[in-house]
Parts: sequence; C-alpha cells; structure tokens
Amino acid sequence: MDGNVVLVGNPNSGKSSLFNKLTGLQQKIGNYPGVTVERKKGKAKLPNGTTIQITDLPGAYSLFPTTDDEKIATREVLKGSIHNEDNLLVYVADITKLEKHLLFFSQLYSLGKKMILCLNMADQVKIRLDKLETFFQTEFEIPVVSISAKRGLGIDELKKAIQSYSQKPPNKKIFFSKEDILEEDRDATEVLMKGDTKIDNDYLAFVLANHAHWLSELIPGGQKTADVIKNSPFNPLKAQVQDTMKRFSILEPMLLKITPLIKNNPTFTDRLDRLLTHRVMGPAIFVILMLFIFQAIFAWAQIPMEWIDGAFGSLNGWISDNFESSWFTALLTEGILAGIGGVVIFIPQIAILFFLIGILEETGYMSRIVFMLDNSMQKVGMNGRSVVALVSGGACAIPAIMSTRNIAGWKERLITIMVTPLISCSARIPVYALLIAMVVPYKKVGGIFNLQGLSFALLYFLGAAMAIIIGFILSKWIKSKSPSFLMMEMPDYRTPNFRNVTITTYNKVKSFIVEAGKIIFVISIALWFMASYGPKNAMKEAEENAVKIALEENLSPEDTENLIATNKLENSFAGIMGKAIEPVIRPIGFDWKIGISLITSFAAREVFVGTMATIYSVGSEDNTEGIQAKMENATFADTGKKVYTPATIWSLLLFYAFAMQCMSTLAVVKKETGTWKWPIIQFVYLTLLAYFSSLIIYNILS
Amino acid sequence: MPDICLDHLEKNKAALIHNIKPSDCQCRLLELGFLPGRSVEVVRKSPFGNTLYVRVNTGCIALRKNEASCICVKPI
Repeated sequence: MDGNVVLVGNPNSGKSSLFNKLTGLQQKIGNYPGVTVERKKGKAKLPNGTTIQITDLPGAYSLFPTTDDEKIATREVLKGSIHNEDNLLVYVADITKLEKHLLFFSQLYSLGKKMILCLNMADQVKIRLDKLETFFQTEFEIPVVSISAKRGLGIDELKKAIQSYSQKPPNKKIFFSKEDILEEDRDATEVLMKGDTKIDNDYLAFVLANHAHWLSELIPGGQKTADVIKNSPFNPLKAQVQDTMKRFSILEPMLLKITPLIKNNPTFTDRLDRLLTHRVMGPAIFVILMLFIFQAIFAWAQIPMEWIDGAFGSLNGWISDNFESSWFTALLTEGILAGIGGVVIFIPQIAILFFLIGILEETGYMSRIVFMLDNSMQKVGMNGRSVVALVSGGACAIPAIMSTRNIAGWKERLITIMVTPLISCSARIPVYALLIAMVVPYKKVGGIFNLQGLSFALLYFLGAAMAIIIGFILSKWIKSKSPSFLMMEMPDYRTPNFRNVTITTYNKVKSFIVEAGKIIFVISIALWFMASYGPKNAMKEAEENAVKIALEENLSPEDTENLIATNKLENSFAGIMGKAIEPVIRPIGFDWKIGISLITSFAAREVFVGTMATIYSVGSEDNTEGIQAKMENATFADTGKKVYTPATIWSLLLFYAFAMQCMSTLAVVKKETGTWKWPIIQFVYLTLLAYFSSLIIYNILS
Repeated sequence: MPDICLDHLEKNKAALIHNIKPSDCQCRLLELGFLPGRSVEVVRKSPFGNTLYVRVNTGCIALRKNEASCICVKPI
C-alpha cells in the first residue's frame, strides 16, 4: 500500500479519535481553499517502518451533502474517484449505530474504491467481534477490523490491514446497478460517461449528475455538461431519495441478522438528558457551565499570563542591563520581544478555552447546547454553539473566534465571528476603569449597587445588545450558500478522552502561533517603530527642546526622562498620524493626543493607558491617579476648553466599547475566514459604528 | 387515526412513521433513520418549544419544527 489513506465516516463515528491515535502530533491542520472547513492531514508509521500520509475528511452522512463540511467530504471523494487516485478509504463506523453508519459506507462501496471497514467503539458491545468481522468480510469482500479508537484497541491490527492491503477494489453490485437509475435520469448520467471520459462507474456518474451544478469543474465538459444535465428531466431530490431508500432496503435485512447481537444501553444518556435538556434545569445548568468557562479564561489564565509577562519583563530588563543601549537593543526589547510577547500572552487563554470546549464536544454536551439554544440564536443568524464563542469573547475575542470552527453552517459561523469583538473583552477593563473613574462618582445607589459598577455593566450590556442587533442585520444581509438545517444527532454521553482533547488544544495553539502570530508580530513591530521614530530633525529638536525646558524649570532626572518621552512621542510618526486624524475625531470630542492613543491601542486596547501616561509625562502607567489628574486638566490647544468633559469621556467609552482596535483579532479573523475581505469589512463596520455612536452621545451630552 | 405531522404529535406518544414529504430535507431525514415503518416519539421540547428532541428507533435526533413537519406519522 503506497497511496494515501483517507479516513471517512459519519460525524460522531470517532474518526478524529482514530486520526489522533494514528498520527499523534504528526498533524498538519489547514483550511480547504476558499472555505472555512478544516483540512487535516497527518503521518503514520506502519509496522514495517514505512510512513504513510493520512487524511481525515470531515464527517458526512452521505454523498448528498447539506453542510459545507459534507460538501468538502463529497468533493474530495469524487475527485479521488474521477482522477483514479490510488487512495485507500478507511471507513469508520460506530458499531452501536450501524443502521445509520452503513449508508454512507454503501455509497462509497458502490463507487468501487479500495476500502477497509473499521468498526469503532468495539469495546461498547458484548459480542463475538470475530463473528461480526467474518460476516461483513463475506458480505463485502473487503478487510474488516474492529477497534476502539479511544482505548487504543485494534489500532495495530488496522495498521497491519493497511500495510498488507492487496485486494482489488470491490466490484460486487450489492447496493446499486445500472438498472437502478430511473428512466428519466438516464440521459443525465450517460452524458457523463460518453466519449472521452475516465468515468466508468455507473454510480460515480449518477452521483456526479446530482452535483453537476456545484462541481462542474470536476466533470468532463464542465459547465456545458452541467447545463445539459440541468435541462434534462433529471430530478436530483427524487433520485437521491430513491437511492437512499433502496440502500436501506438492502441494509435493514442484512443488519437484522447481526443487530440482535448488538445491544447498546442508552438509559444513562436518557436519564442524564432528562436533567441536562430539561426546560428549566437545562438552561440553568448551561448558564452555570458558561460562567465556569468565563471564570476559567478570565481568572485562571491570569496566572500563567502574569508569568509570561514577568518572564518577558525580566528578559527585557536583562538585555537593557547587560548591553549598551542602542537602536538595536531598542528594536530587540521594545520591538521584537514585545512582538513575541504579544503573541505568547494569548496562549493560556486559547489553551484553557479549547481544553474546556474539547471536553464539552467529547462528552456530547455541545449537541445539547445546540438543541436548547438553536431557536433563539437562529433569529439572530447564529447557532447554539455561537453562545460559547460569545461568552468566551467576554475574556478575549482571540480564542473565542478560533472556537467558531465547530459551527457547521458557514453563514452562522461568519456572523458569530463578525459580532464577537463587540463583547467587551478583558483588555477593555483598564480603559473603562480609568475613564469611568473620571466621569462617574463613586457612589452607592439603591443600597447595594455602586454607580461606577453600574456604568461598567452598562458598557458590557451595550456590547452584548449590539452583538445581537448586528447579528440580526447581518443575517438579513449575508446570503447563505446553503439552506440552514438543524437535523442533528444527539450522541450518547461518553467520558472524554484527555489525549484527544490535549492534541486538539495543542494544534489550536500551534496554528494560532504560526498563522495569526506572524501578522501580530509584524504589526506590533510596525506600531513600535511608528511610536518611537519620526522625521529625524523633528525628533532631535523635540529631545533638545525637552532638555531645555527641563533645565529651565529645574526638573528632576525622572521628570526630564518623562518629558523627553512625551516630546518624542508627539513628534513620532504615530504623533504625526494622531495630529493628522484630529479633524476627523474632533467632532466626537477627541484631540490629537487621544488620536495617538487610538493608533497605539491597535496593539492591544489596554495600551491606551500606557500611551496616556507617556503623553502626559506621568512616567509609570500604574500611576492611574496621576494620569487621571493630568487628563482632567488637559485643554484643547486652540480653544483652551477642557478636553475631558463628560461628553468626551462617554464618547471615548462608547468608542472603546464598539471599535475594532485589536490587530490580533483581525489577524485571527483573517486566519479563520481565509481572506482579508472579512477582517476589512469587520474593521470598517465596527469603526463606523463606534464613530457614529460616539458622535451621537457627544452631541447629546455637550 | 389519520396521519399527522410529527410537530403536532403529543409529547411522549408513540407513533409510526408513515412517509416523509418531498422537500429539501427529505433525503437527510431518511439518512438519519426516519424510515417509513419505524417508531418515533417526541421526548421533549426545547425551552421555547421550537426544537424537538425526537427518538427514532434507538437514536435521538434534534429537529426544528419545520423539519419535523415533513414527517407524517400515525399515532399508535
């Protein structure tokens, strides 16, 4: 066996567990071009030492797809058939669900592909597995292996079967023969087999006729043939139902011979579901679980994040202590190290979230979430799974957006990605804290509530409400590529496999570092450059000026440093840009100093506070009271009026609540959607939303 | 008893599937095991009642109301 091995099977058949077992960490996770479906490839070693390539196709119920995932699976299988690729299909079926899982198998079987039937979850049934294997072996004349991917049973036998595979593809016409094609569908299939084509399998021609309209690039004659099929009396819906019914009518009696042997015990799942999907208790338990997830990525991640921060801080300190300061050490510490730190800092949150989501998926609870919330989320264009992403967004949009991977519908997934940044993340807290303290008095209302706390809550609420409103608008605007269905199996509850969850988590972190990390790194260096460099003469003058003033006013060395930093930032490229955008932001009450902060905040929102500290020569960004005092006295240079009126502060708060000021989020959106189109649209709509909200509130209050 | 659509079937009442109406979801419903002759039951409804938790044969499936309305059943 030297071709590729392709894993196929229904969703929840344990295909991914098997893939993890076979490949370990030798995986490459990417995207199929143009779509957001995950492409999983890996390498496995056979007993004789050779390495083979393994592809894990997305799970599918049949060759008649309804979701993007299934379309990819169908396309890849058909592509392999048409091009006569030397692939070996390993079909994974859940032994307790054979009455459903053998349908897709029967279709692939009719395509005449080299195949191994792999009966997974073999540890869940108490029967003589050898009898079952022999039964299928004689029926289908292909190798049959029973395994338990979770427990690691039968993996070696499967590898041996792959290694020694020598049979010709099956040629038994059990499920399909030419006569099964309806009279009115004959023309449509025959056009695909006529003349100079490599298609010699009737079932392949039949399936291709069903998909000619969206797979015209695969079929001989392309769009022309697709049009011929479209204009023929061929009726895909009817043909598919006919084919499916025929297959079940053959499978059912076959399975009757063996299913009495297989007894699965669903009472545990039933009893658990009585509680977990209960009308009242179900949502209540869900809310508690979500609070737990929120707490985990919000608070627990803080500890490793502080370690990372600390480690980078000490490394920075060590470099500046041991090396002469020069442009190079500055580039190393403030540019490169800060850039790497800006990527690494997200790892704890991503890892914790994906570990927890992995457990929700593996146990089967995620399907219950979708069941309970489908209807409510459907109204705003999203999916039950979106709630997990939105809740996680309260800690950080990066892992939240990455977690949308398992939302099946493209449209629902995209809308979730588009609105997640509206949920106030933890990076906004320092900004909110600083600004709210300036405008809202620390006062108790109604005995228990604090006015500042209520303002916090209001901003969080505004973000969430806006996410729902925008979701609703987008659901009208984005056209769906395929109709939306729920029709979803509720898998039996199972204990999670921690190895699986860990491998998924590892892959998520890796893909974040490799794909989004590059972009974050480059932009943070660019931002550092813009904030530290400017036109040479202007920068020099700024420094000399600061020194002169410091001498005149007899400032302490520390204050002199601060003043130099202020003057330099003012004349840097970021300063120039801040001044350049002042005409645009003046109507919402901002001066050019805020303009600079808006630009530097792009590295991360909390940088706002640090930039304010530099601009007002406060020195340390931890000195919030000092920053606050300076900001309160700040005036517009031309009019002499105070900058930070309540109108400006509320305008700024709203701006931070809505605006897309996070390059890391944009990088992740680019990674997840595969194009720059969506991050750009997202950036533009959020900036406009922020600007006009600020404009309205500023004009009302001033 | 006359045929009714699955979304009108009372909770916890057994019924036999009679047929699946031709529609976009017809084929997928068959694939998920909603085959004529099989027994089916609505086990529970979602918090707002628009999603059904359905047992067919031994498996459980979540269906939207409009999807369930494609399934004609005979209560028994």
